[in-house]
Amino acid sequence: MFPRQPWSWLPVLLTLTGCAQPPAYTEVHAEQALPARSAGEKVLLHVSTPQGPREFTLRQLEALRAVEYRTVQPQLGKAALYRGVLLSDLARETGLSRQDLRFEALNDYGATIAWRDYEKYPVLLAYHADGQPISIESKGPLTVVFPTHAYPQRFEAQKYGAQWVWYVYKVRVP
Amino acid sequence: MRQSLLGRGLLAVLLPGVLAAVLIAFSFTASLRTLNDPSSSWTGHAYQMLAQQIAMLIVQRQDPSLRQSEDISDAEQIAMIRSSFLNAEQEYKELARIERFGPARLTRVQALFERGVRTNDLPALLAALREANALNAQMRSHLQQVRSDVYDQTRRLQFVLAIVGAFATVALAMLVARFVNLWRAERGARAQQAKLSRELSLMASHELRRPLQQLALVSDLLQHDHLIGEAERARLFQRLQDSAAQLALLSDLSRLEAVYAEPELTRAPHDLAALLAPFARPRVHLDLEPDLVWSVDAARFSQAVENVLENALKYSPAEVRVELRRGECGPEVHVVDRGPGVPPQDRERVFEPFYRAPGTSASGHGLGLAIARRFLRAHGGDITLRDEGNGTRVVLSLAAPPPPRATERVRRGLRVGKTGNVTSRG
Repeated sequence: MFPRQPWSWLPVLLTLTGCAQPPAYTEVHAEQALPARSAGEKVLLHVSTPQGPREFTLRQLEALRAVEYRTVQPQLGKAALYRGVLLSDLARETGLSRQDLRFEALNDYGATIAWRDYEKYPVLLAYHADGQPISIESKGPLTVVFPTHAYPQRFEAQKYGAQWVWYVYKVRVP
Repeated sequence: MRQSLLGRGLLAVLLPGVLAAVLIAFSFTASLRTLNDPSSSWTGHAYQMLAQQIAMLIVQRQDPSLRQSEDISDAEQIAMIRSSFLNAEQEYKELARIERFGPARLTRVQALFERGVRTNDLPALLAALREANALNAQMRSHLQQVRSDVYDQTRRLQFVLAIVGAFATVALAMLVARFVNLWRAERGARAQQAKLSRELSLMASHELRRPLQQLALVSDLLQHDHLIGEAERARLFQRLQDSAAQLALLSDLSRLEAVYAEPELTRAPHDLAALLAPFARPRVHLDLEPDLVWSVDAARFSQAVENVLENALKYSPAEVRVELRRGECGPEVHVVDRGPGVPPQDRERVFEPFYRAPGTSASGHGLGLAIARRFLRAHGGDITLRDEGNGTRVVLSLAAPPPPRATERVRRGLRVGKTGNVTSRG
């Protein structure tokens, strides 16, 4: 009944004590070659980088390393499987690592996300919800998602609710 | 005793602490409930955005040339506004409360907006904007109300904290006072014990002096054996034996308390005149009533009389009279001298250990009368000083008048010396 090797208890122990958690996200695919923007293709994201402005279409964002997880969007009050690019990957791609980032929305809303939050935790700039592009009616096409499914206390709505930015279309250093 | 004291002390600390914690937790509940209300936005952001987006739509429709290349399209603008209506239950959580502050309604904003968008009816869009603005004003009233509630709760919290603080301070002060008192009482008791020990050892040395002197005197006399007769020799031997026995009794230092503080008597009926006869000596006149038998500890009784007599002889140059009488309650020995007398205010103090008459040059510790009083009291009697006009009359009574009730209680439970030292018998 009991395993003979004492270390075979370790995974059970770690799981019971909460030290071993299931991964907070699933990698859908690694970074791919960035496709060129085709004529008339809509720019979804403008990023102000030290090297100048950078623009991303949906296809270009999809070419970056893609991850996904299911969590509840607090303002919509429902769960969805969100897929997108980790803010840490986006910051590295645009040379903004270890900098707080200001996310601005189509409706002129904006909020700042601290680099300590997105470096350590899988904060997402999502472009898909439940396998579909996110419509404006569902707060898309780009929306910030926090991993509340894995870290509910860390990102409780009272403190982080205002940072779930909808309709994201610009990122800059504040 | 010490454990229950510790337990009570712990309880005295814990009880105010627990009470304070409960009060504080209770007073925080209301504020926390308001602050953590998931339906409260605290900013009214959704209402502001609604009015702002309708205004943008109106402006861009009124003058399409104002639209910048990176601005969102008309359709996107409409989609964003509709998104809010679709998600109204989540985005406008305080709606019911806000709509109570005035006539503006979100459903009317939505209806006017849809009509304006569908038919490109600018007056309808303007009406939607005005309704959204009115809803914003109601939202601000609601926020003001929330702010006022939080302010009141904070004031109540402040009041409770002040009460708890005062309560804790008083409890702490009482606790500290209690422990300081306990500490003082213990220190006092220790000092009394030390004083008592010192008294007892000095009393012992005081009492040892006399038999030693007698031993020296008798041995000196016995050296001149040829000068004394048979009867005298027998008497001297008897004194030698008595002194040795007295020494043996007194020198047991482990029994000091039994000898002086709480004298243990070995009583037997004695003819008191026979016990007092040996006090016949130069300057001492005996006037003894015969056949007066009383149950006494002969050694203690004789010591008490000896101490008083010695004292009288020390202070009086003239003859000292020792009288044995029948008193009202029992036998009395009166020692009457013609000395300087004792002023009325000092007549009790002379029985205190270490009391010396002012200006006295005679040697001694001032313990003789204190010891005599303890021995007499152990017999159920007492020693008192009476006015004698020219001199002092010390009355040693073997039975005192029935004591008042308070004294009786003290006698049973505690023995109170004139110095105020209290030794518990329990």
